[in-house]
Amino acid sequence: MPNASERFRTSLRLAWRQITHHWSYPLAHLIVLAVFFIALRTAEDISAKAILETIPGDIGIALASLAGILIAGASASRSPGAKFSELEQSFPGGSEVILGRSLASFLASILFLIEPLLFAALNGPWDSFLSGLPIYLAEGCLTVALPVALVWLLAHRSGLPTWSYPLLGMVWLGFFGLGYLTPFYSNPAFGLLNFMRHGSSYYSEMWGRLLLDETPRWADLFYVGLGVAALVLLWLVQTANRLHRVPAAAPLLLAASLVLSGFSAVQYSGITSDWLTNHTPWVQTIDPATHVPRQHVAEPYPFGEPPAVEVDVRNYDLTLDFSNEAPKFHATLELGNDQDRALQEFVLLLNGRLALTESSLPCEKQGIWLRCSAPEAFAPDGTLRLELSYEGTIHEAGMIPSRDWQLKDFILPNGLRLSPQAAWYPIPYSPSLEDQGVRNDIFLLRKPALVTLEVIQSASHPYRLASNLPHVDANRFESQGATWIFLIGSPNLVEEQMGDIRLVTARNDLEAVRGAAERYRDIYETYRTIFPAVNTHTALVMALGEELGLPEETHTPPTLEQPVIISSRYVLWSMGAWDQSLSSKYYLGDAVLAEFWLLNRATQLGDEAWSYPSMLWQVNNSPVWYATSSFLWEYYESGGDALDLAERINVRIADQAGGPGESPFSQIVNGLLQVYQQGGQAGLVHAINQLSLMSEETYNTLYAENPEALRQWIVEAGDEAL
Amino acid sequence: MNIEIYNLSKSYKTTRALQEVSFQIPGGVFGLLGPNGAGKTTLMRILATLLLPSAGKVRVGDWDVTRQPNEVRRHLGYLPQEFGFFGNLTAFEMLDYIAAMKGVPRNQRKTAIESALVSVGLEDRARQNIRTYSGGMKQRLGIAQALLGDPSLLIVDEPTAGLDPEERIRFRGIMGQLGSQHTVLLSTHIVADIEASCDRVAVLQRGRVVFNGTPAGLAAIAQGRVWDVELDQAEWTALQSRYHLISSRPQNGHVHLRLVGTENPLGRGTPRSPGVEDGYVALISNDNQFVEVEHA
Ligand SMILES: Nc1ncnc2c1ncn2[C@@H]1O[C@H](COP(=O)(O)OP(=O)(O)OP(=O)(O)O)[C@@H](O)[C@H]1O
Ligand SMILES: [Mg+2]
Repeated sequence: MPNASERFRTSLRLAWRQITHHWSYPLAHLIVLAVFFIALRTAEDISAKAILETIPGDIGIALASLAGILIAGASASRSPGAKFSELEQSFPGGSEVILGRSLASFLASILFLIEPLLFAALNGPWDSFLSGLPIYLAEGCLTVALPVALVWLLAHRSGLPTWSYPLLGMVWLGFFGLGYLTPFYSNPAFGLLNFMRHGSSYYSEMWGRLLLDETPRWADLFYVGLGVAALVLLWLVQTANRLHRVPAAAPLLLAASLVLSGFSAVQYSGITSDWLTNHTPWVQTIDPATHVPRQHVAEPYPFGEPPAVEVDVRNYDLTLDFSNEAPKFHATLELGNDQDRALQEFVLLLNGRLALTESSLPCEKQGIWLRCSAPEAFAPDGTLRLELSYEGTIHEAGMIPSRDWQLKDFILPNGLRLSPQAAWYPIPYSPSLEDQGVRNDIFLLRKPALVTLEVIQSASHPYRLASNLPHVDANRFESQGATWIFLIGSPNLVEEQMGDIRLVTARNDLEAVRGAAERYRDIYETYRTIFPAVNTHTALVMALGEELGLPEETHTPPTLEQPVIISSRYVLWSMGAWDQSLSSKYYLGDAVLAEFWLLNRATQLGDEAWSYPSMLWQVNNSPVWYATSSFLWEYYESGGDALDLAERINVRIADQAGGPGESPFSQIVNGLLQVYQQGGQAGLVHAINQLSLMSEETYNTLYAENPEALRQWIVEAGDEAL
Repeated sequence: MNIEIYNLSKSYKTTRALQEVSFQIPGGVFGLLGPNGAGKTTLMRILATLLLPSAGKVRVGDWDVTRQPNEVRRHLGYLPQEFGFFGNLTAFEMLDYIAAMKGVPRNQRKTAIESALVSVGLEDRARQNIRTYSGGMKQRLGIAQALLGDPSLLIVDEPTAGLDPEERIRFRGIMGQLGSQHTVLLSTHIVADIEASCDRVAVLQRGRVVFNGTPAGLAAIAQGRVWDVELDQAEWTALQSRYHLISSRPQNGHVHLRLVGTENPLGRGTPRSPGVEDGYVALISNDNQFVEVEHA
């Protein structure tokens, strides 16, 4: 075999030279370089690893595989095209010449990964680049190897006509596009057909790519199988042609690699379709009559008739123990009975993957449903203590629009994300809310509960934690009143105090979201003077990658201690110091005001302030809220200058649909302007306080049809302050 | 090296290119003659392991071309009728690559390439890109590559096509040299090449062997049937269908002809002793009536 290896090396060397010494090769590198440094420069704000893991990295791999197709086609056609193959077929040897040349095509193609790598490396930081490098190289090589091997298989006998190259390129890129077509991306199994690397989740600087379970591994193995199969087929065909016999190992290898590929594809689509059918705790249906989306518990109630009443939780004492292999949870709940009759049993929701190990009351759990019996009649206004131990992991997927399915809630060795939608703590089931068609908030508590949350970290993988509840120490959170619990943890998590804002984000995002956080701080400081009754000192701003599974997404309810604003890093990047657009008002101003609005109501109305769906109306649909938010935004922008404010308000009114008429909007903002002009800030504080306490019912009965009266009412409220 | 061909047949989709061809090549320079489409290239490609026969057996030395193609290739120098090189390489680089393919050890390659280049007279152009070569130079380079690796069997398909007279003579010299130790199978349309270099010759026609013997034996087919004669145009037109024309030369209103035919033309012909070309023409023109051939 020494001659065979010599032939392999010589063919490789010559083919390499013929590819790389051709003028088109350096030119192609220049073009790819230009694509990155001119066309993709907007990707600059993200870390090196994020560049490699997201669209720029994908484009790099696509371009390399496209180059691979062209190079392999040209290289394979060279000998037949020059009629040299008639000569070289008379030389001794089996498949080694073709394999050497294919390897040269492959090597010359993967050099096109240098440009994306360079682009990422220059973007930094260095450690992020190094940690992204191995996976990128491995997946890049896998993706490039397959088309190179396929084109060689196609072209090694008689070469390719020139017109076929664009066709091949289009077919290849078409596979990539396929993943983005609606019928395909809605079925996650088609993520596998996205030849430009499987699955496209958002990249999170906190946790990396949140691809589903083992899908990356199965997708990679799918490609390994196909690539090896193509290579073995090339070997087999060439050996059969040259030596008129089939190498004994080849059919076995071919079968094995195809089996591997098929098996991986089945596993991949198994996982993804499993998500579609089995693991969605909530489903949303649209009521055909009213077009109102409604959220339901996906699994039917397994214990007979679903309950008609609910309990509420007054107190949660939660412990998450990650010191063992399987996460263990311990929950002590103090339940209250708000109903006017005694309860024999009550129903809670707890994630279907969690298994109950102990309970202080007789309980049974099936799927997400947890039914417990009260030992003796659970009297109205009574309380009941329930201790639960459960274990298992959390693993929930969600679909991000125009992307694939990705992990939403999870406990991984290198971090966790537990949104309330995952029901990782026992949530009282509320039949009334299901009926009312509340959207994302089926898991919100009706009344704030006292919560303590303690995390016992694994000794081998400790990481930082953050929650919507205030920190007590690194692993402990407490709130006097919270209606939901969100917990995240990651080694990349950073917290920064910026005046009255506590910013929680990923280390690599910190720089980019600071500008937006500073604006939150300014807005927060201004709005706080309008709501002196709200006793908070710090607002929590979480700048994260995605907001799946959170209540009302942009307007997450506060805890009693602090406003909680959770916003997307993608949005915040563009909301730095300069953005003047209306989206600034929406994402920054409204987000802060919603928190103050709810806290102001809570301080004065108590538990009633949290009740759904009126809370939703208050900070989303209420014309009073909407007009006040516009007024306050202009108040903040004008810095309190009455003349400037008046001018801005007039512009705002003119911008409103329907013009300056007598709409509630113009009546409210004009009323507030009048109050400010006459009574200054003190008047404004009084009037806005009154407005925020107005109920939906009051508004609808007294003012919806008579906005002029509302204006009158506002002006009077302002006068009271004097 | 001895080559044995038994009942060899090859059919393409619609054509039967070889039909039950059998003969032996004991060694030396063996010529293959035949009109266009007779199956010479087909036969040579089978011997050179490029093509699988439809039926029959071919042994090259101790090896079966179908079952041990690589053994055959190891001892083979092949010059196809139609071929090409990588134009962007120099002759030296191209030969270096081919030498490596043929398993010439690295330390012997340079000498082997240089001597092959010298034997085809290309040593001065060895460092130029093949793209700049003329057709004849490419043909000579093709001969040079066939010589690499010291093959004991040389199969050359119309090697002298496109060569100038000087090169053709040089080529005959190479063949003569090689024929003393190696087996050379040579196909050509140029009968003079056969006369100059071949020990034995076979004639293929429509896929069948119609002659197998020495060049002298081929010439002898036309014994007593070669005539020199002077005719005028009208006479020639009348006789044309019964004779085969070897050559004609106009001479003061008449034509001076060399003809092959059984009868003395108009009784005015002078009998001539036949050459290989006469024998070949006599053989081919007899079509199917002449199948009994001399077997060695
Ligand atoms: N690849 C092919 N497919 C179909 N028919 C073919 C093929 N190659 C050759 N033939 C046919 O087989 C017959 C023999 O062809 P071959 O090339 O062997 O003749 P040849 O004796 O070499 O002719 P020439 O003197 O013109 O080179 C011809 O009829 C030809 O048309
Ligand atoms: Mg031929």
